[in-house]
Amino acid sequence: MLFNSAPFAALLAATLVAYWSTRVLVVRLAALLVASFTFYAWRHWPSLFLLLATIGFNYVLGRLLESKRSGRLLAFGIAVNLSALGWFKYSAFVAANVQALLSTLGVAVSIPQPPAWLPLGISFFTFQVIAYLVDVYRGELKAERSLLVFAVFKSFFAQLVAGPIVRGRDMLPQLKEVQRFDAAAAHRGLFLLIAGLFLKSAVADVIGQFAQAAFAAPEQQSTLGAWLGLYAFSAQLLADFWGYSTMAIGAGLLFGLRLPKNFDTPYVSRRLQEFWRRWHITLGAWFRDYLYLPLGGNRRRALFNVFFVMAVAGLWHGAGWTFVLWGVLHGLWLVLERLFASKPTESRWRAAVERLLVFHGVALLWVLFNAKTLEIALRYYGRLLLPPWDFGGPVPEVLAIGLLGFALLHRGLDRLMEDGRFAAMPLKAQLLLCAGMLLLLLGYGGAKLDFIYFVF
Amino acid sequence: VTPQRGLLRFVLGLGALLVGAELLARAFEPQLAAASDRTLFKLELLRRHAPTRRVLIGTSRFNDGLEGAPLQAFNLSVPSSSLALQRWELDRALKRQGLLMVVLEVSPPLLEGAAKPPAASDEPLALLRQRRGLALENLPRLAALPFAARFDGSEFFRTRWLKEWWAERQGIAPVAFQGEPTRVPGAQRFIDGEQVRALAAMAEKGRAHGLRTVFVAPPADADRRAEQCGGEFELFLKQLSLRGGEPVLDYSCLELPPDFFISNAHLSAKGRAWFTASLKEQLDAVQ
Repeated sequence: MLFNSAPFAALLAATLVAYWSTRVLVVRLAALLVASFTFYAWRHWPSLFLLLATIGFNYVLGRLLESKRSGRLLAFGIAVNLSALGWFKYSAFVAANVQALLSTLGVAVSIPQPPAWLPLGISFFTFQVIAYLVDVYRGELKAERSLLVFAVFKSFFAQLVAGPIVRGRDMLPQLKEVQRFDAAAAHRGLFLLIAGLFLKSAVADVIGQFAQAAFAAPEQQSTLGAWLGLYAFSAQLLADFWGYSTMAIGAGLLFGLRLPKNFDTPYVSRRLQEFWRRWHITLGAWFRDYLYLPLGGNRRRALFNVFFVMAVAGLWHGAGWTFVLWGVLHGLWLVLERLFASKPTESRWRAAVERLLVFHGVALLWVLFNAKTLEIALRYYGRLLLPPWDFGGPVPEVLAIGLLGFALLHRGLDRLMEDGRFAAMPLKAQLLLCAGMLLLLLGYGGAKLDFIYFVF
Repeated sequence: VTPQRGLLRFVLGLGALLVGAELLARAFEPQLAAASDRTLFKLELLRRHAPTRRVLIGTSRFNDGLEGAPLQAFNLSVPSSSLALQRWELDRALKRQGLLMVVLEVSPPLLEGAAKPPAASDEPLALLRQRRGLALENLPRLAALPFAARFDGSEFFRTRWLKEWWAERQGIAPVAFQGEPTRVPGAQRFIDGEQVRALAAMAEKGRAHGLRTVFVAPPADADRRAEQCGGEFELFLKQLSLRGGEPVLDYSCLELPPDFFISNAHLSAKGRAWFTASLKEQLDAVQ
């Protein structure tokens, strides 16, 4: 089920009615659980069994880990969760590479075909539950006693398939409390739903069509066309994922639940390190707390740790060499930044240049992120950076307006999403803003494309 | 304002906004529908236009290449048109009173085009049915509709580059080029073909309404000429001349000066001035 669809609107409305019409916690949680399972099973019902299995397994394991702080038990739990992720997400990639390697060595072996179906959001809910197990093992979090609460924590439909990756210590106490209706939160939640839908349907899907066309046939692009395609993809990716996260936070607020912020205008970063503190914030924090720090953090082998974490982050995003290379290059960049970059100064000019450079560096690496194969990525880089340089030709009006508008207005929109900002505006301004977004939504929002991060 | 009051006012305001927008969309649905699609827009302009003697129906080659007013015509052409769309437009244009002639473009891109006639949406809300009319680039069309009498249809959807716009502002110098189109003779023998039959049927329909139909193959630059002249397309035009029984004017093999084009298939302001004047002579002679 897509957030930008009528079934989701109906499900959300029905769940809100069921949730707020009672003060009995169990009934409220049951409503959330039914909604979450419906949401998840909508696209591919067999995936629900995987979700149920991981809920049951991790619930029991959490209880066991609390009573017996065993490193082996934790390792077993992490291994089982990662195995499911590995099987569904990476087995085809591994099988293809093993087969290719063996055939290069002259060994003819036919490897069985792994599953073609990738359960939605498996990377997200796997990381979320690993964090839960580690926190319980460390004694930072009590294992959840109620299976119902744990099941809702594990499957809450607002953030199940593409984050934000919530932590048990933030989410579980909220679920165990009978939330009182908070009008200010609901006001903000409604605005975030509209704003998120706007970002997804009126920005990402519209601009994304140009990116799709450019990446589908790199060799047919002029230099200008290739750069426009790259800018379009950069804007699409941010608007798409930011839009999803915003809707998730908005939907959560309507139930009185606060989900963490996931984006903070990442394209204005002056350093790549800053970019990663602003882009997919909950994933960055996850890698910091559950991989970077356990590896030694800044205390030992800091540069290797940074590099290694980014390589793993690349692989997390997708089963393909393009993703691995993307992560490795981000890792290298971060290492070089730590070695050579001076501290940011107050100079506005320098800040502007740094922002421009970091944005273009990040954008250039998005080519690897979006290209289906390394060969396509190389062809795209060729059109971007190699002759013949051709900066002529028409620029589609919709793309030009979309890119410029997004670049100029997205920081303002981000500020309006902060607590209380929108509600503090005069009612006329609130309605005018919503009318503008709805107008663009209606005018452009017909594509109903999948959210990009659904497949990660 | 308390948070509860603030939320209530926002929800009520949002609800009123949506209901108001839906009511407005229902009240102005024909206009919104016209704004939502290039073909519907041109047909709506034609409907509101004073009676016109001729209509031009084709692709961007006609749309860029011909001025409507000097030809006493309304230019119904839209970029990326197709045979199916041309036929659909013709059916609607035939209802216009005072019409004497239909000028149909015949070109390889039109014959190969896959554009389909606009389909009515079955969405329950007018806002959803006509949502494309609300896209920013389409909204100016709403503003143009009340002034339909001032337009001849060729003002919209041109491949108008900045250079061309500037050239038109400066005024077009008199064009000295003297070439004339070929009046395509009928083929020696008849080879049945779906596209020829479709075009002939259009001519037949025109005749049934008392209209003269003229087929015109628009000019092409050197590259396109090399592809078209003496090849299958020329053969096609001969078949059309035989089967359709109406004049077929072939400009596609004329060697026009390069500055008559802004791209391989689209005429510049200079080219447009010449093509319009030349076609006017031809159409006057036919009529």
